[in-house]
Amino acid sequence: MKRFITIAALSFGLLVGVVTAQPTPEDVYKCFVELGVSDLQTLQAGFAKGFADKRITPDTALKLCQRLKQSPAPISLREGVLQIIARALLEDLPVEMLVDKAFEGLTKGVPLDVINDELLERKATLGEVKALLVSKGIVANITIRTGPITIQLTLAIVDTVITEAARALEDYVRGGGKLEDANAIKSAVQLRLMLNPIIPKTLTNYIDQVVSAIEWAQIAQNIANRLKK
Amino acid sequence: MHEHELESLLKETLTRYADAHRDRIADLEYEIVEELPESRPNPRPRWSFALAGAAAVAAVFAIGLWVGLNLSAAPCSDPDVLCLVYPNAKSVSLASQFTLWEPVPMNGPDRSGVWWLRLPKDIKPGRYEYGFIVDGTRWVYDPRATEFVHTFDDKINSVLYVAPPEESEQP
Repeated sequence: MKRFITIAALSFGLLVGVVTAQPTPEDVYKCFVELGVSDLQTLQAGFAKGFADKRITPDTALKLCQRLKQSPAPISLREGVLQIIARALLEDLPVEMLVDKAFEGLTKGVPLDVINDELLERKATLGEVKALLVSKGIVANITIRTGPITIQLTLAIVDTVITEAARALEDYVRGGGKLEDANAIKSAVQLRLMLNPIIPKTLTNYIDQVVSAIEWAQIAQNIANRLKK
Repeated sequence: MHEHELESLLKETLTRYADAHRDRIADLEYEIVEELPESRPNPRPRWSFALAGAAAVAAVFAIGLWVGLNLSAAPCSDPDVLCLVYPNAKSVSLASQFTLWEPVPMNGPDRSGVWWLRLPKDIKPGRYEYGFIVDGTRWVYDPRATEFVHTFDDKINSVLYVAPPEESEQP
């Protein structure tokens, strides 16, 4: 009887372990190999950095790889999605918006060449927003002092600011917003930052003070130019 | 008297008696049959019948539950429920950022052709884009949403805001 209970307990534990086990980076790299990618080295380097920085989890990366495996598109296009994300991670950019758009496009049945173009365009926007914020001293792992207020900037908070600002600008331009109305563009960005529960209100106010409407409008204009091509 | 003579005498006597009382014994068999149920022993329980009965009850309950869920009015006044009126759809799924755009089948339709799905309890506060997939292929935005986003040119997403709990504070 005791032996039976021991075996049952071990079996149950094994079952629970199998069910709850989270994918590891190795599972993701194995999926890349099975997909038949040509540049595994760049993918591994980019995603390893992303896992270390907690910008993407192995679980999400594996799901994306598995979704791409199901696609009938040529391997170069399927790998292209992963390469754009890997390069963004290597360039120290947040990839939440890119991963999100990749999944959205796959679900909607958008052709992979269109998804790749969309990801490249949005990656450029993320880079421009990050460069603008860096020029204002808004970078991760520092403390900003503005008068009596101190703001601790973690990587997660700065990444969220970059992502939300980029999304707001993309939505504004793609929604047909007026490019000459710089104040409306700035308001769209500020509103999006304000509505995000992760971004401290003090940081949103600080960005309002240090980033001008013209600067946000310039990025919006760049987006419009890229979309025309 | 010999044995065969005695037997013949007995037969004759019984035959005469039967002829004389034919009207009285005509219902004898019926009366005996009428008395039988009271003295019949209880039948043994038949487990196969019991199981079949239980299965039938469970099936009726399940069908009732399914019909109740599908025909009762969709709880669209609940802010945690997303609804879409689409009476002619065979299936409707929700795809959203909070499911990594993985389609989740919706309940319905109810009598008014409304499909609905309750938001997951563990959804984090924030802004989420979403849309509905009708019959597995057609992308449909939520006309009840207050904000919309253009993505992939012709496909419009609806936007949903999940507010943080009132007791939590901004970081």
